[in-house]
Amino acid sequence: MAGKAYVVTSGKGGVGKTTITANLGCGLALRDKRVVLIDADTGLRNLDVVMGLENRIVYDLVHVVEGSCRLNQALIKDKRMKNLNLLPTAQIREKSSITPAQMEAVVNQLKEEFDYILVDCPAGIEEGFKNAIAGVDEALIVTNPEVSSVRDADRIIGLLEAAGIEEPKLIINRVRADMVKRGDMLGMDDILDVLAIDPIGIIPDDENIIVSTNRGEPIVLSGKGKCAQAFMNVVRRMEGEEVPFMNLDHPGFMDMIKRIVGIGQ
Amino acid sequence: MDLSTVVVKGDKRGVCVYINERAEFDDAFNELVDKLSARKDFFAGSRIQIAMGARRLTEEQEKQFAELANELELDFQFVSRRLSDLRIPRQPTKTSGTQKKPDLYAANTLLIKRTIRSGQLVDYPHSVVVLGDVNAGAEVRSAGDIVVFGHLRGIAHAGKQGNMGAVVIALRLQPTQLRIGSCISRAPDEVDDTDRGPEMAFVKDSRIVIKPFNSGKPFSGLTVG
Repeated sequence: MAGKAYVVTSGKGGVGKTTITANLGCGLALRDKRVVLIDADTGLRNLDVVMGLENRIVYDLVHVVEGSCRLNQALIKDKRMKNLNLLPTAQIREKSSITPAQMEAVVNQLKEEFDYILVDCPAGIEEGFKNAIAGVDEALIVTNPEVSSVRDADRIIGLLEAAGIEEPKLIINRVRADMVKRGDMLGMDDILDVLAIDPIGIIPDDENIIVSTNRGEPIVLSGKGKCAQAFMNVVRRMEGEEVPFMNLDHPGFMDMIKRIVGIGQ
Repeated sequence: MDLSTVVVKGDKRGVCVYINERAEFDDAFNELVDKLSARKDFFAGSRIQIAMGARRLTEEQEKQFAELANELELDFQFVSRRLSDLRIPRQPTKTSGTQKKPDLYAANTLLIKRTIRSGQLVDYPHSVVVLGDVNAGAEVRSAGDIVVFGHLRGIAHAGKQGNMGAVVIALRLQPTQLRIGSCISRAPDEVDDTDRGPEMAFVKDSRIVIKPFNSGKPFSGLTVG
C-alpha cells in the first residue's frame, strides 16, 4: 500500500514548522507507523538538530538526486524508534541544487516503503517551497495566532491551490489561552474566519518545547503535558480519528487548589 | 476623433487587432507586440484578424508578422477593415432613474466561487461577483462593479477604466483600500471589527462614501450609478 506524503508549510519563518514536523513524525512512529521525515530546507537545515540526529548524517538529499548514493543510504534511522527515518538535506548547498521533478521522484520512491512522509518546508515561496510541495498529497499549514503569519498562511493556501493541493489542514501553533481570553491574541475563530480551512491541531505555547528542541528530544516522546497531548491529537486526526479539540483554558492543578481554598479567581 | 494606434477588440467574428492606417509601422508593430505578449497565455493558439485598412505590407514587414505569429503561437489573418470603422462604445457612466437602459453589460459578469487569497489578483474588463471572501493582500480590479458575497478585506478597484459610477458592495466591507474610477480611499487606522451588515461604496462629490446596502432602495441618494 502506498504511503501518504504531507508537506508542513507556513510561508512565514519561525512559526514552528520544524518542531511540528519532528513531533508529528515521532507521534506517528509511536503508533507503529513507518515514517520518514524529509528536510527540504537545503542550506538551512534544522530538522536533524531538532531530532538529535545531526551527528549521523553522511549522505543527504542532494547526494541522492545527484546520484552519488542510493536513497536508502541517505535515510537515517532514528535513535529511539526503528520505524522512524530522517532524510536530511545538504547544509553546504543551495535550494537550486534540487528540482521539483527530482524531489517528486524521491517522494514517490519513499511512498512505496513508508506509511507517512512528512516534508519540512523552508520559509518563503520560492524554489525551496516549490521543491517541498512536489509530489506531496496533502498539506499542513502552520500559523501562529498573529496577523502576519495568518496573512502568509493565506498566501500559501492560494499557492497550494494553484499547485493542485486542495483542502490543506491548519495547525495553529503557540496559542496562549490567557492572551486569547484577554483579547490580546487572535482566537481560533478569527483565524478560521480568514483562512476558511479546517483546523487539524491547536498547539499551546509551552516553554518546555524550547528545552526539548535544544536537547533534540521531541516533546511527544516525553508523553507529558498539554503540548505532547496536542501533538498526539493531531496524529490521531491524521489517521482519521475524530478527536475533539482540547480546552486550553482548562485550569491547572494549582488553580484548582487556589479556587478551593478561595484565593484568586 | 483621436484614434489610438492599436486596438484589440473581440466580437462574434473573433479577436481582431485594428491598426491605425496613419500610424508609423514600427510604432504600431511594437505596440501590437506589447499588447499580444502581455496576454500571451490568453491568446496562444488562436486566430487573430489584423485589420489594417488600406495599409500594404512590405516583404520585410510580412516577415516580422510571420515571426511574431510563430513566437506567440498565433494565426494571423489580414482583413481590410479599418480602425475608424470601429465604433467605440461609450462608457456606461450614467443611468437615470426613469430611463434605465437594458443591463446588457452585466451579461459579461465574472462569477468567482472561491476565496480570493493574499497575493491573488482578479483583473477583469467587466463586473465581478465573488461568492466568498477577498482576503487582505488580495486585489480585485474590474471595469464595472464589484460585488462580494463575503468579507472584503483586500483591495477592490471598481470602474478601473474611469467609470465613476461603479459601485463596490460586500456583505462585510472592510477593505484595505477602495478605489472607484480615479477615486481612492483607505481603511481607517483604528481597527474596527463591528459587523455593520452589507454595505455599498460609491462615489459622491468626487469622494468615496459608504452606506448600508438597503435592498429596498439600494441606489437612492446616488447621484451617479
